[in-house]
Amino acid sequence: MTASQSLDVSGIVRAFGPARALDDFSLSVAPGEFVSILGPSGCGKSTLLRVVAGLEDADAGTIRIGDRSVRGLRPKDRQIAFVFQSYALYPHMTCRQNLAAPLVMRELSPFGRNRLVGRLVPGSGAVRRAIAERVERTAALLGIEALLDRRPSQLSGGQRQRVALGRALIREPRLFLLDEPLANLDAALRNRTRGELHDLQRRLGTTTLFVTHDQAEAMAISDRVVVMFAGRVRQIGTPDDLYRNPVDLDVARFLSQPHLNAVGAALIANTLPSLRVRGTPVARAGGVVAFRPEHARVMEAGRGLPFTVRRAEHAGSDAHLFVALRDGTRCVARIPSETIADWPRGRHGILAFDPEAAWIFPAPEGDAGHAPHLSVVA
Amino acid sequence: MPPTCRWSPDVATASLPAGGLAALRGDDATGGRSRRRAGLALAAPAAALMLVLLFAPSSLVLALSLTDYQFGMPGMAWVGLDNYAAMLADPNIRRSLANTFLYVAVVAPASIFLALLLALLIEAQGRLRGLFRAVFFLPVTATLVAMATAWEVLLHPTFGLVNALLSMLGFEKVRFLSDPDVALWSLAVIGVWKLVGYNILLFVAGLATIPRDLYEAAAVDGADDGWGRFTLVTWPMLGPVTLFVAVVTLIRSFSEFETVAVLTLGGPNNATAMILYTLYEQAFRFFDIGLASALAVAFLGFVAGVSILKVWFFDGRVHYV
Repeated sequence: MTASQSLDVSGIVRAFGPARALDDFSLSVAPGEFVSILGPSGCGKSTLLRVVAGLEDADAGTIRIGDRSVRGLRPKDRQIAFVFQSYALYPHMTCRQNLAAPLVMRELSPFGRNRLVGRLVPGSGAVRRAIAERVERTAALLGIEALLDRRPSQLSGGQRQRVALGRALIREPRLFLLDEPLANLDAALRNRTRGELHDLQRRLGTTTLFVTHDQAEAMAISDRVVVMFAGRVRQIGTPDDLYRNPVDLDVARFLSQPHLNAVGAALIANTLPSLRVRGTPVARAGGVVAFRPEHARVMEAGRGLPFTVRRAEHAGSDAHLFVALRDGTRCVARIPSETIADWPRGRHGILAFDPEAAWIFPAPEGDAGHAPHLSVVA
Repeated sequence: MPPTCRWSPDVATASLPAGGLAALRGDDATGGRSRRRAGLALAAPAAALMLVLLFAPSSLVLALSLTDYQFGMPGMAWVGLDNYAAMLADPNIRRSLANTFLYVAVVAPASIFLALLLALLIEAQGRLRGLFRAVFFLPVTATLVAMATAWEVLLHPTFGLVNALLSMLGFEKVRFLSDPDVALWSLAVIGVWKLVGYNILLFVAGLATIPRDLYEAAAVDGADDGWGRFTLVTWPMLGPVTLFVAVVTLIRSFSEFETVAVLTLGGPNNATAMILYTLYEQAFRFFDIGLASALAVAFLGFVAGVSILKVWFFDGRVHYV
C-alpha cells in the first residue's frame, strides 16, 4: 500500500457566474486522516471535492497532495480515487470489469485492451493476470467475491456501493474522495456501512475526504469535521469540539439536528435577570441564547421561562415537547416519553435550561433573534 | 387471480363481455376457461386488425407469387416456384437485386457512422448546436420528391452547380445521374444525405441520456482522451440506440424508391434499378403480378430477416440500462 499523503488546499476560489461555490477555501488534512466536509446542500462541498479531483478547475488557489502541487494534472494523474453519489459504475460491464477498469485503462495500451487484438500485444497477458489477481484481492477485502460476474443492474444499492468503493481502492490511491457515498442507502444499511467504511479507512490508512450533509454521519466517523456554508469554512474541529463549542448559530443549528432552541437574550433577561450563560450575564448580552432540547427541562412551576404546550412528538424512549414562549418564540424540550400525557396541548408550564450547556450568539442578520419562525430548526 | 386485478370490476363492466367479468371477479368454478375467453375477447380487435391489414395481404402476396396472375387477365394458374426461378434468372432483376445490396452495403454503414460522428461533433459543440441539429434534420422533414428535384438541378450535367464547381476546379464534367458507372453512387450519396439526419437525431438523443458521472468516473479511471471515453463509456452506452438505428437504416435503405423513381427511373440501362422500383415496374408497367409478388416476398423476407436477427442475436448482447 502506498504511504498515505497529506492534502493542502489553500485559497481556492471557484465561481459559477457571479455565484462563488468556493470562496477562498483553505484546508489542511494530515496523512491518514478522515475528514468530513459537512454543510447544507449547495454550500459548495461537492465542488470542493471535484476541484481536488481535477474534474473541475479552480479559478484561484493551490492544491497540494503530499508535497506536490497538482496544478495542471489531469484527474487520472493525481493518484486519487473518487466515489460518486450515484456510484457511476459502468452499467455494461460486470463487477469484475468495473473493478478492473482503472487498472486496465492505466496499464494496458489501447490495443492491449482490445479483446481480439490484445493477445498479440507483448506483455499484455502478464499484465492481465496481475490485474485479475488484484481484482480478486480487492473483492475479498470488501466481501464481494460472489458478485464479480454480475452486472451493476443486478445488484442492490449496498452492493453497488461496495463495488464502487472497490473500484476506488483497487489502484491504491493516495487520497480518497467520497461524495455522499452513503446517501442512496436506506437508514439501517447506511449506519452499518458507515461503520465498515470507517474500519476500512483505518485499515488502509488512506487520507480521506468525505462529503456529506448528514451531521450524524460526519460526527460518527470523522477525525475532524469541516463545516461549510456558502463556499466558506465556518469551523473545523473534532466532532466533539464542534458539538460542544460551535462558533456561531448556523454551526450550532447544523450540529443540533433536528432541533436547536434560540431565544432572544432580552426575553430571558426579563424573566431571569441574574442568569449567567457560561459566566456571561444575560442581562448585558445582546443576540440570542441557544441551547439544545436535551439541555432543556419543563416544570409545572419554578424559575424559568413560562410557556404554553403546542404539541409533543414521540421518539421512542424520549419525546420532543414543542412549546411557545410568551412572545411566541418556539422552543423544544426533550422529555421522557412516559411523561407525554402530563403535557397536553394548551397546558402552561416553565422551561428551564442548563446555562453551562448554552451559548450566546449574535442575532442572525436582519433578525432580532426572537422571530418565531427562525427560533426552532426543524 | 392476484387481488390487484380486481380493484374495480365496475369500471371493467362497460367494456367486458359477461364471461370476462365473471373471470375478473374470480367467482366461478370455470374461472380458468372464462378467463381465457376474456383474454381472447380483449385481444380480438388488435388481432383482427393485424389479420386484415398484415397477414391477409402478406398471405395473398405469398399465394400470388406462386401463380402466373397477370393484371386484367381473366384466369390464373399455379406455377409453383417458377416466378422465383424467373426472378433469379432474369438478368435485369438480378441486376436490380445486386444494385440493392450494393446500395444497402454502402448507404447503411455510411449513414450510421457519419451520423454517429456528426452527433458527437454536434454535442461537443457549444453555441450552434441547435442550428446544426436543424440543418441536418431538414432532409427528414422535407418532401423527398421535391428534394430529389433539387438534387437533379444540382447534379445536372450542363447547368448543375456541382458540375460548374468541378469544371471551375479543372475537372471534367460528370453525368452524375446518366453515367451507368456513377449513377448508383450518386443515388447512394443522396440516400446517405436523406438518412443521416434522422440517425443524428437518434444518436443525439442517445448521447443526452448518458450520465455525466460516467464520463467523470472514466476520467478518474484514466480514460480522459476522446478515444478512451468513447470506448469505455459512449459506445457501449449507445448500444441500444445504435442497434435501433442500424435496423431502421437497413430497412429504409433497402426500401429505397423515391429517388430512383424521380431521378433515374432505374436507368441508365438498369444501373440504378432497385428491388422496390423493379417490383413497381413488374406490377404496374408489365402487370406481371406473379413475378412482382415473388419480389415482394423476397423483400419481406429480407426485412423480417433483419428484424429477427436483431431480436435473436443482438438484443442479448446489447446492454439496456
